[in-house]
Amino acid sequence: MALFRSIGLFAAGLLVATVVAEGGARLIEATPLWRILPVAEVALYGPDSETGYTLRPNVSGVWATENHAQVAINALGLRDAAMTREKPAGTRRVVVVGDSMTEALQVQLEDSFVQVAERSLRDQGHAVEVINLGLSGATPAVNVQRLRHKGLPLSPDIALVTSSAIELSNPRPDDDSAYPGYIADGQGGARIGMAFRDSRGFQLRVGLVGDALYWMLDHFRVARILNARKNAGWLQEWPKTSREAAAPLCAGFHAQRLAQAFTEEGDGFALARVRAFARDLGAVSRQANMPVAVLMRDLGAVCGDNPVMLQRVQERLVALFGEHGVALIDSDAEVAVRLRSGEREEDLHGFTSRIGHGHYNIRGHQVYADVIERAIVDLLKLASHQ
Amino acid sequence: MSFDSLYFLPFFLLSLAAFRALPWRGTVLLIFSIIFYIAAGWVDTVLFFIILAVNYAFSFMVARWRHSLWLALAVDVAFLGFFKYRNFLFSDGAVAGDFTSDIVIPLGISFYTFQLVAYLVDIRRGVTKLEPDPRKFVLFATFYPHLLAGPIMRANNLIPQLSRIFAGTGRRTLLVSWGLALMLLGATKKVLLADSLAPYVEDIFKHGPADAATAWFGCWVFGFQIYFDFSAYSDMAVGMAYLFGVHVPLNFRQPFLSTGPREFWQRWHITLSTWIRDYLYIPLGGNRGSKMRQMFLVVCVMGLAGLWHGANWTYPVWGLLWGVYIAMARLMPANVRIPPLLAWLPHMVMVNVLWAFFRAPDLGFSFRYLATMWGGPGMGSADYVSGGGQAVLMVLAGAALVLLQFAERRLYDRHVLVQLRRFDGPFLWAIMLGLITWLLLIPKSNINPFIYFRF
Repeated sequence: MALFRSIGLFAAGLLVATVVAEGGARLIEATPLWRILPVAEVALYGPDSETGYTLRPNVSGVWATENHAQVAINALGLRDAAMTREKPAGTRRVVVVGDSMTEALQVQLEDSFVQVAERSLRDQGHAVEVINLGLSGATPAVNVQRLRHKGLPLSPDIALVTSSAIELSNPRPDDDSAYPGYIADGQGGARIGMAFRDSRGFQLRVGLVGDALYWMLDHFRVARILNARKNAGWLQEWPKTSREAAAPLCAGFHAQRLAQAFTEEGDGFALARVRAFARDLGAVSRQANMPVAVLMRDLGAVCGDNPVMLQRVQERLVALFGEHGVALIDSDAEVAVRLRSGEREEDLHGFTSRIGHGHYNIRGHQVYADVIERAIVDLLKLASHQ
Repeated sequence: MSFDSLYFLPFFLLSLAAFRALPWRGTVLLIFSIIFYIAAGWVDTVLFFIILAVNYAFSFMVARWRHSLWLALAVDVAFLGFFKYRNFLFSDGAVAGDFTSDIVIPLGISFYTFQLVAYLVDIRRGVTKLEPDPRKFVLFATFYPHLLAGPIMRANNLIPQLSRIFAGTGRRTLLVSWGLALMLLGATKKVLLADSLAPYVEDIFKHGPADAATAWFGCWVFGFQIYFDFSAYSDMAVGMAYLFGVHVPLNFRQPFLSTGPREFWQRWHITLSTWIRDYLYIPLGGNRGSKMRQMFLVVCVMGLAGLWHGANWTYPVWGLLWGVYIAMARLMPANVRIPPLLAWLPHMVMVNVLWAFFRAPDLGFSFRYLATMWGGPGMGSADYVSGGGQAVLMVLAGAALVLLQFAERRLYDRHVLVQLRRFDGPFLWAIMLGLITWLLLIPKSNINPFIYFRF
């Protein structure tokens, strides 16, 4: 009897601890301490039958991975200000599709390059809405799907799609078991595969179990802590034997890889992927009668790269996308010309080495906002002629 | 295995359960302590046991032949010097560790070396008896709650307690919730406070402060970061040891409430301070001789203490400057009484100026940092105190850190113990264990090893 009583008291104590942890997490979020102390990170993503996963509408909280920022997803499931699906009269809409660099969860919304560009354009007298369709981890196939199913219903006038030359140059077909990916179409080309829809994980997430899990995540901070921990790894702190990476040889491998990927002589899947990507974007452009431009990063020279080779790669890609009426912009080059004296491209990324250093910081967003602002102005002129 | 890692908690609970349930408590504790250290890596483990074997052999020699103590000390210092300072001494002096990269020295070597040195000296002095039982000797060195970063324990304190455990007459833990409360305090300080302050300190000392206010802010916050980090480890060590029936001395007593340099070192890393006093300062002359001689000795000893912290010129300079500060304070007439607040403010100024040396990556950076602190040009882009609103927030946050010291002092009041005793039981234990678990579940955006693991 005493044993059962002890067990009961112990269980009650654990429950009290959980309630205290829940209260403590909420208290931190409710005060300016959320900027400094650990927070129960909001669970933003849910399943989506077209893109594999998406931002869940009307979810808000603190994003704590690589800097802390307040994040709110609007009713349309976008990381943007509240808006209607219908385009306001007299307003031109620009949708910006991309990955986590576009989604910009690391900074407050008003500091994201999408918002900075919108404000700047409005200050110049353009009646525009620049809409953030960024989604962390979005691959080219996911971007196409997102543009089709999230972007087009917003009746955009222009679409900007950010992409990475390195990602496109992967010689192997994509893995579509978790989200859409470009796979071989059996005729030497590529198509978007949607095998994720049949996966057990996806079925679970769209069913009752998923509903229950997301309800818990939305209402309990302790559930968010567990979810964040699961994503980070239960054995996150286990020492990893890291072999010091050999210093990269300055031998121009980056340019060689891109050149091999995007030429007819390449023996990988990359060329088929790029053609399919350009084809699909071109189809969206024609369907919506709107100009589409791709902002391509990673076309710049890395250690020892042959600039002539990179120039040919860029010309090749411009031609490939141009066949389908899609413009290609070298975003690295555009960023480079906007750097201040003494400023390096790396300075545009990161929030101290202890927090993270991959994504754009506030200065990075300011620079990139200028890049897309220029692209939007050019495309607006093009759109008005179409 | 770090105390703030999630997988450590089941290890600790398993070791405690086995310790309490099985009859061979000493052996159980020894086995778990060895397993604990093996997690640091096989190279570190093999080295550790080589050093243990050498010191075990030396302990017999020291007990018998007086002069063998010098040989033993030379060997221990040589081990420490080689593994800790070889890059510093034999390369370009660049340090491949400290605050910005992975830990590169054998885990805990500074701490267990000091503990073993003290053991050998105490045998020679007759303060402690030779411990011939290899199990007790190994457990004395490997007792895992305090193995990696102290508190540094004396053999005449720890070995008798371990002997009683082996004999089955170990101290019964009287107040489980006290041990758990210390562990909870430590986990809170490490996970919520130290790790939260780390990014700001990192940014300021990597990119340089943009102005004087940020420079002062950086040193102030670093002082609290290292305090929360190190005292957290010590709290958890004391708490865990208590649950094994071993009393380990507290290592910190709210040092930011001190009003002078001597008091600071009576409150900061107390076991290291007393080790330096007993095994360096007093043997080298202590308070004997002229005032000048004493002051010189203080400066030298503190310089060595600084050197112990790491293989970088900033550390011995930090120590030497502390020595100068302590020596200067000794010149103050004893009968002069300064109101605490008036004494505290300039004392905190000095403490923060000295932190600039401790945290800076090199001496040049530290001097430029000091210049910025005292009104010189900004040396970098880190800017945390510009703008009225942000400045107010940062000043308030800085003040709150000091208030936490007062709050922490209250936790050691007698009435807290009375309340813990009153409610001690499964309910309270579960609350504390549950809170510790939730703290350890919080994912880390970056792995921040305990700072003193680097020393």
